[in-house]
Amino acid sequence: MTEYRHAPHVEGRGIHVQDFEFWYGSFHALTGVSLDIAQNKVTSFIGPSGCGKSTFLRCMNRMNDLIEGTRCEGTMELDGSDIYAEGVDPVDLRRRVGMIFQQPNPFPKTIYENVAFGPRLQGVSSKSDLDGIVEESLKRANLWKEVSNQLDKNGLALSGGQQQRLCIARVLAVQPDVLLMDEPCSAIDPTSVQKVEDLMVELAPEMTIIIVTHNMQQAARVSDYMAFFLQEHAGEPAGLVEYGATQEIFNSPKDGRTEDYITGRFG
Amino acid sequence: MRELFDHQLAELRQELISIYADVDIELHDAVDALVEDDKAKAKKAKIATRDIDQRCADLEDKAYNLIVLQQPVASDLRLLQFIIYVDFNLARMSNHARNIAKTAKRCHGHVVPGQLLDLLASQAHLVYRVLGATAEAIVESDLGTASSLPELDQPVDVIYKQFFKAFASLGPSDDMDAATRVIMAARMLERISDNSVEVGGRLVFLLTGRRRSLSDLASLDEDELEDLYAARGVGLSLDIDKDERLADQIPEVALGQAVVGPVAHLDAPTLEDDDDDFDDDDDFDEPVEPVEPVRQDAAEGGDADGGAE
Repeated sequence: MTEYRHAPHVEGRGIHVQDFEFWYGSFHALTGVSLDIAQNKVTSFIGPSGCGKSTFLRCMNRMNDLIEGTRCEGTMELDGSDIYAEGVDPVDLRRRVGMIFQQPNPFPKTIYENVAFGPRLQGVSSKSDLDGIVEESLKRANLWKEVSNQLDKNGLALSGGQQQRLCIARVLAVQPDVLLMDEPCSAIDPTSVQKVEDLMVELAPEMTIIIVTHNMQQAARVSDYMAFFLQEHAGEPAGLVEYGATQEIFNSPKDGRTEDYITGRFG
Repeated sequence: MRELFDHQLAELRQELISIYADVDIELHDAVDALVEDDKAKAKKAKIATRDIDQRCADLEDKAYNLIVLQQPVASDLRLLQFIIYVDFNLARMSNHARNIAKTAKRCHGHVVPGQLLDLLASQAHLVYRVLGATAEAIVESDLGTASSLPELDQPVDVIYKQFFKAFASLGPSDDMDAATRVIMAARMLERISDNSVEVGGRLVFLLTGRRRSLSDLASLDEDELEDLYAARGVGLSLDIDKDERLADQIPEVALGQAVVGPVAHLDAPTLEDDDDDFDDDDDFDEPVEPVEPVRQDAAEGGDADGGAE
């Protein structure tokens, strides 16, 4: 049974998930996940390795569709529309629901081309329009000051932290409604971590951000809401244990398993 | 590392209970010294409270160190917050007990009006009951016992008001200086009881993570109370039998007729219509009927301060 305390209730805009189940082939990976994710807030998914949090995150822009043999049941709605309904274009969905991965993965292209890539695919061809989008996106990603005079430099030549912010700028360039971040700071240095965290807080008023992290302090610092996932026994599906306001989860978790996890007794 | 932290938390928790028990014991000594005019016992109590002050300071240091070094969350953090807050209150209670011991020394050799000493002994028994219930609530993590504290504290406030009536009835042959000192001691007892009730309020946050008044909890049934509990970390329960043994050192208090008597005939205010009873200084500021002071000790060549320091 999942504990919900001051968890958001979404009507219309936001993400609504009800009785969600997920399988990798015959392996039942997630069961009974129900939660509402508030629009324009930061929500963090926490839990030990193998608890299904990244799997659940990838369900939100149907990245798991790319893995053969996966299937899901239940409801997952973005702004009131089922993202798994027939006729939904996964590519269009992924424009609305952008994703940042653990390892920065800029294209082996210039900084400018990395950011302009998405808008070009969407049909933006005017040089001045693209220039504006690139500048704006790099500014929103807090990278403009560092790269404004070297936009023709290869993105892979940047530092790890800069590469991650370049990837964020690339996502921002297509103006997503939701930003999924799968352990975005685990492969970058502490200074860059701080910049990415600042960025999350700055972007939150404009878009819904969902972050998977193993860093409890980071989850506490940046997120408004927190969901704790757990696979209790090997081979059994993982599920959502507790979901609510971050302050409440960190201050007074209701479920003993959440308490044990966030206080470092396992995981 | 986590296991070490759990043991550190348990040690701090047990030191807190131990200090609680010692404050109660020293308070017994201080009050007995005053009621029985036992100067040696007063001196012993006074010295013991100095030791308690040092232990409170050490406990606070250790709690802050754990916060800095372990960056606790959830019940670990709530426990450390609780320890720091209770530790602060124990230092205050110890200070009040010391002042009562000083009063006992200063009253030594004086003829203290007997009705005031009877009232003080009765009030002290009621205060011991509050302290005992608070310690029990802490050791057993029991919201129900905590919620009973305001009700247990209420007669302490009622009996405290009786002192002023008794004072007003004193005659010219009574030692007014000594009488005033006993009333000050009664004030200390009343504050100790309030401090203990405040600790109960903090216990609610420790156990639930929410700020709820003890009076609000009193109206809840068992199931409703049970629903309030947050998850309990190991730091709250590790080696709890040792806490129980420490709490067992607190002397048991049986409320005999001698204690109930002075309170029973009073029209006790209800919690609803007399919230002021829980404020800090309102009673203290109440104007008291002026009474012509008669310095009995001066007539006998005594020293009002008794050279207690």
